[in-house]
Amino acid sequence: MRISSIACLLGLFCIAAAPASQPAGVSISGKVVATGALPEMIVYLESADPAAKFDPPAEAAEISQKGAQFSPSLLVICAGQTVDFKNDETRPIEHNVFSRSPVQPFDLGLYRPPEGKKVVFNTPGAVRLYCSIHRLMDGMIYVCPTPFWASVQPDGSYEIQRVPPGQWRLKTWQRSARYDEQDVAVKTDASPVNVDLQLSRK
Amino acid sequence: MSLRFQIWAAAACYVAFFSFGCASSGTASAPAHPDRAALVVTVKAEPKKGWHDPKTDSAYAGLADIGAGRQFETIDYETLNEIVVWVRVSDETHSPFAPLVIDPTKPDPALRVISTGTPLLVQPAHRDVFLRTEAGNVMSLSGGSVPKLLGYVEVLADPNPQPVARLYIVPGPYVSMTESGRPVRFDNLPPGPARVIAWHPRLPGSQAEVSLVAGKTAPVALKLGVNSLPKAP
Repeated sequence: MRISSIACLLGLFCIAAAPASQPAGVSISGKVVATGALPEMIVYLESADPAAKFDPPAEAAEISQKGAQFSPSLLVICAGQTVDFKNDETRPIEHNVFSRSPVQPFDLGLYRPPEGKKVVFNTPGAVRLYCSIHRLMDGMIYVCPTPFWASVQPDGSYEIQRVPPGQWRLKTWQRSARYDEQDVAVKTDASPVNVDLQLSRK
Repeated sequence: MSLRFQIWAAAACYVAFFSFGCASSGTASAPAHPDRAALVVTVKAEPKKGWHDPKTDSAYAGLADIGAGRQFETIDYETLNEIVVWVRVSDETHSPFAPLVIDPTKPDPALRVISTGTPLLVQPAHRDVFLRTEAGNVMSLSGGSVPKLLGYVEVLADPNPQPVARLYIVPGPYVSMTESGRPVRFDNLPPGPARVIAWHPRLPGSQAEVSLVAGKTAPVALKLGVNSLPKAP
């Protein structure tokens, strides 16, 4: 067999073996305009198709409990994602993470460092965290229905990346909840989408 | 004292007695009126089974010396306060409640218990005052309004990042605040089925169903703690 034929065959094999490229998706970006500060606000997408399924990130998100503080104090994840509650205290201090939120009540029990315990959060919504030992230990997890969410920056800008084509509801959530939530229909195809949001106080 | 005044005073006392749920420190004596019932409720805070008391746990030794004492402050289960106890009965009619004045310029972190129907007055007048429920629902508060909310509610007022007031709102007049192990008595309850609820801002609550019998005082013991929460899978 001639070398050129072998090279052609090898080339065809490489092309066939290469994984089909995944659609990169488009971004949804814009600016949130409000009369005041927007601390700890997120924007996220909810599929207009209630039967749509999305794979959560494979890696677990982490919450530290060092210094008897949940860090980050607000963690945003996707439904179906795992959170690893690490007891990373430098002293042998035990913690007991629990939540009584209707979204997902749970109790991790007592554990000392360096143990960590994992919880899978399947239901969208806000989950308030407490420790049954330390009275000033407060945290929050917000579970988005899809992996498509972004934090609103101090200047009000946001960008949700790699959004696949489809019909969506763009929604807002803010920890202090002083603004009316937004709920905007958005359609994505091949081009980036710009959506500005005007918030009004409750 | 004229006879007319005496009659008026007696009638006022009679109406007051039957209009307000009386909560006092607990004794098991019979109800004051044979047609009414009474409850003595004791709530005990219960730490997680197997926990190590921070007061004696050597892991906490010296924390205050390095300035880290406050962030590691622990819940004192023996003297746990801000335990709200309230009773849900079939008949919760009551006289109008006095308004609660909230001063947004002087934040007050102490938990206050009120009944639905209590007007909330914001003084001095302040714009951008809100109520936030534990579920995160927020609504504006205009002065003198009577919010139709139940449960834990925080009063927010710009520019304070923290609540300026903390409220626990219950239906009906039968509510009190106590601490772990200290009984509280509810008098003047209508006979029949009732629910006793214990709530705390930092621990899961508990409740019990009880049947109130005219002329009887029923004891109820409740526990507060995490032990009954579902374990994480």
